[in-house]
Amino acid sequence: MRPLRHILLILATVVMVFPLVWLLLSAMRTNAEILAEPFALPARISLANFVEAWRVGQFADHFLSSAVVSTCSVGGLLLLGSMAGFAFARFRIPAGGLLFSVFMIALVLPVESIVFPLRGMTEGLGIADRWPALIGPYIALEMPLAIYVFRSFFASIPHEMEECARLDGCNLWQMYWRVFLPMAAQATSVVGILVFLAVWNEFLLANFLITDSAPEFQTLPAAFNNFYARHTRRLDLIFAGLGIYIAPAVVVYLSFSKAITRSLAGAIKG
Amino acid sequence: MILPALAMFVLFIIVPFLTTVWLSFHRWDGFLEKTWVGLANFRRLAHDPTFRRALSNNCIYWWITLVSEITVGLMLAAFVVRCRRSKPFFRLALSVPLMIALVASAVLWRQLLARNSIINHLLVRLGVLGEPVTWLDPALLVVTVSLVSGWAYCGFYMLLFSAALERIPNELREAARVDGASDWQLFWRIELPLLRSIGAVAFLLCTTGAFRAFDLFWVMAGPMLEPQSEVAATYVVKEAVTRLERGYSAAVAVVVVALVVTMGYLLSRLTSRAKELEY
Repeated sequence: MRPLRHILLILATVVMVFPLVWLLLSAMRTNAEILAEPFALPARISLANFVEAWRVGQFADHFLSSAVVSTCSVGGLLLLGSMAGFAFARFRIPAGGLLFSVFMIALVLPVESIVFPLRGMTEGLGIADRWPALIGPYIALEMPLAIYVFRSFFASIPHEMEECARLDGCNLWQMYWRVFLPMAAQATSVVGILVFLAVWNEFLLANFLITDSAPEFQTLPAAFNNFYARHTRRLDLIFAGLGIYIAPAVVVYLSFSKAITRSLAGAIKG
Repeated sequence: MILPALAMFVLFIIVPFLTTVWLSFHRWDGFLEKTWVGLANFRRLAHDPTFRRALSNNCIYWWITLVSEITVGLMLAAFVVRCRRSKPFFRLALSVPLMIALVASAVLWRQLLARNSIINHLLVRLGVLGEPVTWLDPALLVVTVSLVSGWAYCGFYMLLFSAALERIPNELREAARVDGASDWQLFWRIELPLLRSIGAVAFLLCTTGAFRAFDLFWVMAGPMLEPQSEVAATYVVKEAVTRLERGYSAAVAVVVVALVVTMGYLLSRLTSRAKELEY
């Protein structure tokens, strides 16, 4: 049983990692070489393709866009979500159960049902094709997850804590900001990581709320799809672009894998 | 304290959704006057072969991903937790695709699966296939995308199940061993039953996910997505963007939302019941 298990696991690892290795090798070859023979080692180690793809794809703009949109979304969400989760967990709210279920429905809401009205709204508000057009919807869309995680965390804190704080003269806001929030480091990291990943990779809204008419504001997924559509025949550019696109995520994952794994497991346990 | 969250939610989710519901009773090209058509869009929907095709494609995708994501993930988890020194390595390596955006995975696999591509070369040389397969052919696209989706997500389910497996107290395993249970029996008789509640969660995620799939289909098929390989989400977008049938697109979206939310609700009842049964 043991050797069989190891063989299967190694096989699975090859399947998982092989596409990425192939991508890196191909990114160092010229277009003609790739077209002639899709699988071969590069003739030399060269970063020329990466440099060209970075320039042609205007990756600097898109990394900036993605960073701004993701950071603002995560920040706004942590604040609003923790407040709402705190309130849901610690107070009686009129029709709170119903309200909570309405939030939870959005956990499974198909995004295509809101994307076009959102487009119209952002045009009406004058933020179409700009970062806020994505930040607002992202905060709203990920709100259920944040409320769910924060609520279950705050609900697990013993009642005495609240009474002590009250005796010490805390008002509602101080209780939230000074007492409860500082204890929520774990819930914060769970929500932060999951939402950051979701937002960084989101494609459908990104594609229609910041369109090709303002390419410099597009986030990575939408921009990369356009980059791909425009250079379908330049395989060297595509592979190098893919490498640029994927690399930061892989590096971040390899360095934070423990925290990420824990938050994936933690979110479900919650 | 809920108000700011609620305000964002109403503004960016509820209002757009109600707009979609309202639009579904209209005929509108996105520019000119809207005309009220009552239930005409929904009547048309009931007899729309493409919509039916899209939903059945979603179902095919769902069934294949139940295997390619959940079953494979469970299997890998069962193997991984039995490793000692190599456990962290395998767990990390197998979950690498999780970090890659679906758009990037789609482009990468599109190259890997082209007709004269490396995958076809390998499979033919190994004798698995008689001749190269056009993986991205409309007739096969749904199956191909489901398999790629398995590549992208089985690591997630592996993490999920291996976390659950590690929470099972070791005494249970040792007791079974003492009673002479083999590896297989240990898995089928002890571990699998205890994974019931996390399994229900996984089933819920995979099912609702299957009816919301968009990225992989949209990017892997490109602009040439044929009616034959349409799924619900791509159909909604195409009716609105390409054919300028905003009202009809809204009607499709409303039906899909009703379907997914009902499924999600029923399955979440199931998961909470499974939780009660544990231990």
